[in-house]
Amino acid sequence: MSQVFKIALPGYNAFTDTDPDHFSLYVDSDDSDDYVLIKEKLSASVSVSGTTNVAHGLGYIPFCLVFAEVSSGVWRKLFSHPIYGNGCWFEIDSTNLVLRNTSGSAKNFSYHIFYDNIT
Amino acid sequence: MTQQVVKVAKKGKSAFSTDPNDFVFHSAYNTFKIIEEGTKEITLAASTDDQTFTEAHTLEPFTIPIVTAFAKRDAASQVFAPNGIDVELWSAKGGMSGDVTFNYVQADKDNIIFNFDNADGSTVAVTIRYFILG
Repeated sequence: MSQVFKIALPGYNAFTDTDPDHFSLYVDSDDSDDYVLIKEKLSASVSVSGTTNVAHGLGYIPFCLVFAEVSSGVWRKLFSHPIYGNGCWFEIDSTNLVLRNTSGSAKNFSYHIFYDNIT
Repeated sequence: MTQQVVKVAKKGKSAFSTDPNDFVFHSAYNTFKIIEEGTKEITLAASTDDQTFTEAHTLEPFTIPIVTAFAKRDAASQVFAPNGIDVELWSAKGGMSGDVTFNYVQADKDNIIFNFDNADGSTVAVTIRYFILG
C-alpha cells in the first residue's frame, strides 16, 4: 500500500490529481521522485565593497540566491561574472558565499542560502 | 517544552535524521514559495542593445520582491536565463554564439525589469516567464 502526504493547491483534488505542480506538498512512496521543497538556512543583507565572505557552515556547495542593489531601491539578480558589466557577482564553495563588487562604490547585497546541496 | 515539527523524509532516509538534506519537507525550515508567476511577451527591436521592459508586480506597496526569470525566443525550443545568451550555434572550436542576450532581471517596489540585447538584424519575439519567490 502506498504511503502519501499531499497538500493540494486551491482548486485541485488531492485524491485524484497526480500532477505535482498542483500541490504545495507532494509525497508518494510509489513515485520515483521526491519533489523536495528547498529549505532556507539563512538570509541577510550586507554592504559590499570589494570582496565579502559569508561563511555558511554547511561543508558542501549549497543552492543560493544573491541580489545587488544596483541603484536605489532596484535589486538585480546576480549570477557569475556579469556579462552586462555592473561589477557585481558571487561565487560559492563548500565554505563561503563570496560576494564581489568591483564597481568602485559600496553596494548592498542580499543573499539567501539554502540547505540543499547542489553537487 | 518539546519542539513540535512536521517533517517528511526522502525515500530511504530516516525521519529522525538531523540532516536537512534528508527531508522533502521540514517545518523547522522555511521553504521558498512561488508568490507570483506569469509570462510577458515582448518584441526586441532589430540590432539594438540595452532594451528594457517592465512588468508591474502586485506585491504589497514598498515590497521589493525576489525575482527570477527565463526567456525563450518564440522560434526556438530552448530557454535561457539572465546573464546569458540564447545559444544558436555551438562548436568546440568556435564556442557559443547567439544574437539575443538576456542581460539581467531586477525588481523595484513597483515592477520587475528585464533587459536584453538583440544583435539580429530583424525583430525577435521573446516570451519571458518570471517568478516571484519568498
